[in-house]
Amino acid sequence: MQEQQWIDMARQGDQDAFAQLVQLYEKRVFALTLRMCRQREDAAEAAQEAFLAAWQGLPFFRGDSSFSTWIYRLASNACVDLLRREGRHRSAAGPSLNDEDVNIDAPSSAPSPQEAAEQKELHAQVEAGLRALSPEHREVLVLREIHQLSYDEIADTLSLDVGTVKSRISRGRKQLRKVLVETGNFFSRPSSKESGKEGCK
Amino acid sequence: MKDCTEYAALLDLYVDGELSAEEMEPVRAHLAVCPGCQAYVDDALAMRAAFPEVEDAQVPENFTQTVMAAIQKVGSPAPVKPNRPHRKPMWLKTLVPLAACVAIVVLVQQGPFRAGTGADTSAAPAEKAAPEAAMYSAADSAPESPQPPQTGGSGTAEDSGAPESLSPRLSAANGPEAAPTLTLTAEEAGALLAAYSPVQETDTALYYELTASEFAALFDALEQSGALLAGVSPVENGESAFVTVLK
Repeated sequence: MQEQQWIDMARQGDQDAFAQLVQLYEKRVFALTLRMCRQREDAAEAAQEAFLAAWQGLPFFRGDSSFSTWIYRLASNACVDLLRREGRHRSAAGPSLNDEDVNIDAPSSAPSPQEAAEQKELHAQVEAGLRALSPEHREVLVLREIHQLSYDEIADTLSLDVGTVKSRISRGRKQLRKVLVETGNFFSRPSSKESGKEGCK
Repeated sequence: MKDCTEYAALLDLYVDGELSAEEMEPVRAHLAVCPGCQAYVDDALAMRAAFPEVEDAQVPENFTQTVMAAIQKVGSPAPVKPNRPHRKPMWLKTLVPLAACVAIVVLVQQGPFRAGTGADTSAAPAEKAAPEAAMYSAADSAPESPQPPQTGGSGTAEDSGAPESLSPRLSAANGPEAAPTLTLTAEEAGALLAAYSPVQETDTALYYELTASEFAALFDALEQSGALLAGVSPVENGESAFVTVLK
């Protein structure tokens, strides 16, 4: 597989091969750092640090986890490091929308302009809702929903056990739903607005 | 009929595809008759549909070039602590005296003049000797180099374990700090580091570079084995830990 060849070559010091890996993974890494760091400049810096750490750590990368899990772990650590260094605090303040946040992603290719606008609005609400979550809940939801990692992969990436991943996803999801219900018209069905709890309880 | 609270615990697993085909069947059957649980699943899937996708992530322009430029500054992927742009290159200033110190310590340990002093029962006679040897740093015999010892493609640094560096057998593996994170005797280390390959080996010691979590695991194991670990500084996530094992 091409990626494995690049990894092997980069491990030997081949910078061109590593550049291929950067291009292959930059969107994925950025998709994570952007939600964990919030500010675009911080996200860019953390992403860069993650790749730098990958370059430095390649000789020690033993391959017992996949390369993607490993790079996500480095990205997650880089975000933690950066925020600790800069002494910034993530507040649990309610969601807020400004121009930069709404345009956090490139517009998706939707069939009609109205659908595109609706999709953009939904994206924005979810992004805002994510920011209202604690970092622990936000991170597992991002890895699950955006990166589509399994529970095992998330556990591996964040050095947690699967039980913790499961409970964080469950609580994070409920929390996100609560925020979306309270702040907007995300869920159009009245039944879900009535119940703040899940299931039949 | 199964209690609904049991199904509630399975809904996230269901939504996330963590259930086997057999496990999914009873959940599906329950959802067909339970509007509350069905609403939870519907909401979870609605949120999922509204999550942005990886492909939509807007990476800053020239991101790859920026990363590669930073990497070119750092050089080959041999174990050198990255010279981060916003930190002063202090390791350059410490490396020369460090190399001289450790070279002298190596000689001192081998020679008739043993480095350990009476009160020192720690596992780090090298660390003890280093400050004493510091006074010799001015008249060092190691050649000074204005460049980082490990530049990309220069020599066989990463392969042979004998990197091109200031002293014949030492590399910059000790990082910008003047001392390794932890120094152990071979007895104390035992088989704890057997899983790792040393980044450097000399006649007297093995040098390892560990991640923060690897180091934490090692530290725990050492504590349990009763090794004296006073004064070991913690290693932050993302930082490397440098472990020296004396032969």
